[in-house]
Amino acid sequence: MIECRGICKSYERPGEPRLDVLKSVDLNIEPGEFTAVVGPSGSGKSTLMNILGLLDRPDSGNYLLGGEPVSNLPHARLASLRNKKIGFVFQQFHLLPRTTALENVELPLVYADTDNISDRAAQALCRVGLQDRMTHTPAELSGGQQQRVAIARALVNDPEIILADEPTGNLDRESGAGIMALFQELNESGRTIIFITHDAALAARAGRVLTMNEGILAEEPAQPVGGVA
Amino acid sequence: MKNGKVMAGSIRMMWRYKLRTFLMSIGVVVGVAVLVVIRSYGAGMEANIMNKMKQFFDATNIMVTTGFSADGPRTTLKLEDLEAVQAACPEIEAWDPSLMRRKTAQYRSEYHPVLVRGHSEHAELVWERGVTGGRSLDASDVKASARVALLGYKTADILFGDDDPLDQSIQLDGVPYRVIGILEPKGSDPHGEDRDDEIHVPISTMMRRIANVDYINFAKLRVTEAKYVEDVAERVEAVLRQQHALADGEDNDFSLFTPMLIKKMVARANKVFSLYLPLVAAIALLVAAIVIANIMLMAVKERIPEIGLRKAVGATDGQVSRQFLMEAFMVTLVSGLAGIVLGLGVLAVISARVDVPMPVSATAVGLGLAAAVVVGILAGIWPSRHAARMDPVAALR
Ligand SMILES: Nc1ncnc2c1ncn2[C@@H]1O[C@H](COP(=O)(O)OP(=O)(O)OP(=O)(O)O)[C@@H](O)[C@H]1O
Ligand SMILES: [Mg+2]
Repeated sequence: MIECRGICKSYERPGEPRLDVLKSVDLNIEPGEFTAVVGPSGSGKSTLMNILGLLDRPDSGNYLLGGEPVSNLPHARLASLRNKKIGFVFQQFHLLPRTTALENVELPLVYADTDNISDRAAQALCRVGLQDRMTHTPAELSGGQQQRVAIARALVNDPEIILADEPTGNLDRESGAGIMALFQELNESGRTIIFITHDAALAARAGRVLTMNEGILAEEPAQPVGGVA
Repeated sequence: MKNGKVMAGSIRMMWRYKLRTFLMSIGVVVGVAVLVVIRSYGAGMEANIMNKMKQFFDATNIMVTTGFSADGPRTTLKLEDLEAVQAACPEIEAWDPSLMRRKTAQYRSEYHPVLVRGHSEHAELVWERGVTGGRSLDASDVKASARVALLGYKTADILFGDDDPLDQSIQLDGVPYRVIGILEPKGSDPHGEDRDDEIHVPISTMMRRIANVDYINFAKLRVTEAKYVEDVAERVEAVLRQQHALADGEDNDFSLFTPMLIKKMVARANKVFSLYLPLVAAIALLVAAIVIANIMLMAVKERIPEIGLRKAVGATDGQVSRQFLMEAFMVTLVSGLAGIVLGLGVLAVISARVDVPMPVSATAVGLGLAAAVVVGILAGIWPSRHAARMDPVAALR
């Protein structure tokens, strides 16, 4: 599903030494895997996630998504792959303000040129348990509910992979646990999920835990991550 | 993504951000409304002035007026001057002097302030205005400085109501005048005076009994044939300069209006409507475009996460840019339509107020809409490109 070889990413700012954020990352993710990425702040987790999600390009290395090399595809092709193969969930939810839950979930379908947009969006909202909140705007939803809307949006186009960057980072423990349970369900129904977390307990619920440390990705956690107690 | 969806999305965005939409639209609404109003107003007014001009001033007429000097109204135009003019120009068929004073007319308990005009027995011919009842002024009235008066029909209505004014006596400054006729309706003149609410008396009566002066305000000359008019006007000018003993190089102490000059004046007045005011509207629209571009750019900044998100869920650069362009376009299109409606409303009110028909100029409406669309596209291009080029990772941070 995902094959990365020697992915490097660095930032250069004038007057400062080059910052190597990802130092030759190798990664294989099989379909149906449920993977957590942990690691200290600033270690490069989000940078890797953005590259996996085709929002960013690596400086060097090879990235095969579903067997297709994607490192050098044109912008429009990447946009289409993001639309069809990848669902994003963000820490800040990123729902459109003043826009109903249903319309928020419809967004990926708008760019996918499909029919039955509303029906499919409504189904996705039912899937995350928000059938009673379709016409609510984000301001009228709790944080946990907003994140569920965001997950419904990530699901609606039936992507192969869901990438979640600290999906529970802005939520209290209880809502966070609810979101995790939802991810687990989605994984059990066959979806590939990669999520970043600072919470060791949540990471432990994933089938596989990767640790990022100063741009180097390792399979086992080097030591227990100091997440929220 | 289909254009229809982008458009629906833009309309939804406009509705959701009403204040922003409103701020963006005022400039266009006002600009387009101004454009529509002045184009139609200008055309209506020109037609109206030309019509009025034709009524009061035809191709055989020359008007001699004194106008104002630095010390107030000039008192230099005398009857003798006009007699000299007539003697020098046989092509002048007739001429009629005029002197005006504002007076209060009284009939029984009815008082009415009104403009009183002194005229000669030639007024009927020169001004092409007869009477609907009674008779016009004649030579003996003028010769005798008779205390006789012609009433405009409105003046007659005001003073007499249902009574017959003919041969009744009205008072001007306490002096009795016999009503000998009712003037034909004439409407309002190019100066805006209601010519149906006025009183005519013999010029001699006006000069000696009412105003007690030896000058007149103006005189209207009627030439036998239109082709002589400009030539006669030149001789009239020469005679008047001689009469007034003006040295070479000295300015005229009178003004001559000929049909050609009037046409030029109307055209010049019209230029303001046809040239300068549309320029004002164009500037208003340009300013509107800048305002819209600014607000759009601010909106782009404010909506950075939205742009990042749209890209993350699969929007291409082109789709993002089309969305913002479409939003600017829709705002201005709707504002343009609103401006047209507003303009038509204002036009209807003005038209009713000044009582002049102002047919809606189709070019104005078309121009307004085209201007709005151009403004929308101009104002949208820059912000939309800005939005489209945004790096999604940076936008989502
Ligand atoms: N555009 C950029 N320019 C320069 N440096 C950047 C840029 N983006 C990220 N970085 C740097 O790259 C490093 C890794 O950032 P990244 O967001 O991947 O960390 P992270 O592991 O997700 O941290 P956190 O757990 O706090 O989210 C950081 O030191 C950050 O300052
Ligand atoms: Mg991060």
